[in-house]
Amino acid sequence: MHSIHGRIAVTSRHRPQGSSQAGIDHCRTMAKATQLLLLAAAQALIAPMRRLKPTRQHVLPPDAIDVLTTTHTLSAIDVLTTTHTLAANSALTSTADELAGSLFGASLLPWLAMLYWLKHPKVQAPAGVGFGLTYLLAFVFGSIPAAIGAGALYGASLADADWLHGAAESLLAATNCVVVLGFRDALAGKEDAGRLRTAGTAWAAFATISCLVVVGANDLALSAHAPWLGGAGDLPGWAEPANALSVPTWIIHTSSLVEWSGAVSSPSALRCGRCVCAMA
Amino acid sequence: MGLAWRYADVTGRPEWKGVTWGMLPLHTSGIVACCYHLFYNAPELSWCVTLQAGCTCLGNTTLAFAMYRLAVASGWTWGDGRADVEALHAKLVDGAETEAVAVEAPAVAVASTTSPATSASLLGWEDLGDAWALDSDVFFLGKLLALSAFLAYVVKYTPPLIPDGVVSGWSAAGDGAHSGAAALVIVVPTLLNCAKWYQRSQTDEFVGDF
Repeated sequence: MHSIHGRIAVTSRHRPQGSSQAGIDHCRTMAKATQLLLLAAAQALIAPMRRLKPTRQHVLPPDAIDVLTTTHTLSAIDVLTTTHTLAANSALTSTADELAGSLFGASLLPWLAMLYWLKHPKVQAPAGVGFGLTYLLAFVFGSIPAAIGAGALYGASLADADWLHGAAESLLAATNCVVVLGFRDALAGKEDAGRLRTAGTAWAAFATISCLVVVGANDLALSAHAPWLGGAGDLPGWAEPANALSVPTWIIHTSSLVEWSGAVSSPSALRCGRCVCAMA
Repeated sequence: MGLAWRYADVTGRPEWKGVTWGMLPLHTSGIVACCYHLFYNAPELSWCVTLQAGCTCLGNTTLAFAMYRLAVASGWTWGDGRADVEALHAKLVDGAETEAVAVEAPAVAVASTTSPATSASLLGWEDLGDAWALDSDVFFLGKLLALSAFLAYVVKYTPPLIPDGVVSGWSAAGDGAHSGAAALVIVVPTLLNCAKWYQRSQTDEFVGDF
């Protein structure tokens, strides 16, 4: 309990208070990085099986609802067995998937190195930016259970399971917002990363809850295409493929590209991890 | 990207511009993902996923390199890196001891970071600058949401407006043509983006919206 508490406290504060504090702080950061590296290795094992496409109409397995309600207790081995079976159906895409999975897994290492330098006390990076780029890891590790869920529940890729897709991807959009606001703060000469941390954490909670709402409102989300946030804003009566993204999910995506269009006075393009969406 | 660039100008640390360059492949990665979704995640475009993974990996690496340059310019040395690794090693070896210290320390630090926040919010009532900054957060996010929503509708509802004849022609065009079209959707914006930053790097002054 103590150590958990300590860890939370550390993640919510990045600026060192003094040189000895800086040492401890940094030490903690490194320890965290090591833990993440271990997770990254595990991710590389799982990733290749992520983007699974059903070759026939997917029928919800009888125990799917059980799986759904006990997602949290699913062991990695169960998931791997399930996805393995599904993977046998899609040998063609699996090579591309395997490569993509390895690349995504490998992407984590340079990202962690980047965080190390960014957060080194000597760099004096804006606290909000530091938090934002670390927050990306919430997206990376949030999208792993989402992708596994999409495969295990529907035999679909994350990109085709709208409610899981939107929720997971929204963590990336939140990352971009936090980083942008962090830079804006720094340019305005103020340091108020606290509110960004609060907002980021609140958004992560919201994203999780939004999944539960979909599950609740859709008879345990019987369809992979159950839209995220109930497809708020979707226009009725348009002929679209079943796997078309819902409006909320599209907004999450376009928000990342808005800055590029140059219309807004520039959110950062830390499309960093847009990445894992592709598992997707 | 724009903000990192501007931050480089304001702080006089040009290495932050390198960070902008480092982000470029990641931006392309985002374009690839949107392109894939634009074509309804078509199986023949599954190479998009691999490409996106590649862009992500490349982008994370270039960003890490840019950050390394920044760290070195800020006085970081490999000696520091070694010291950090040794500290980490020491911590892992006799973890229990350091753990106790580390748990103590954050509590103090949290206390000291909350107090400035409190005083800032108190000051906010008197300081119009602060109040405006807060407003501008909301304004900024609102503007972002409005634009994103507009784009989302355009992207989502334009394809269904395409006449049936064109759609059947598209279906008959084959995987090669589909991949070609997708490649254009990816390459053209990427080149434009590169051109934009190249142009900015050539001029000293940052004009217009940053």
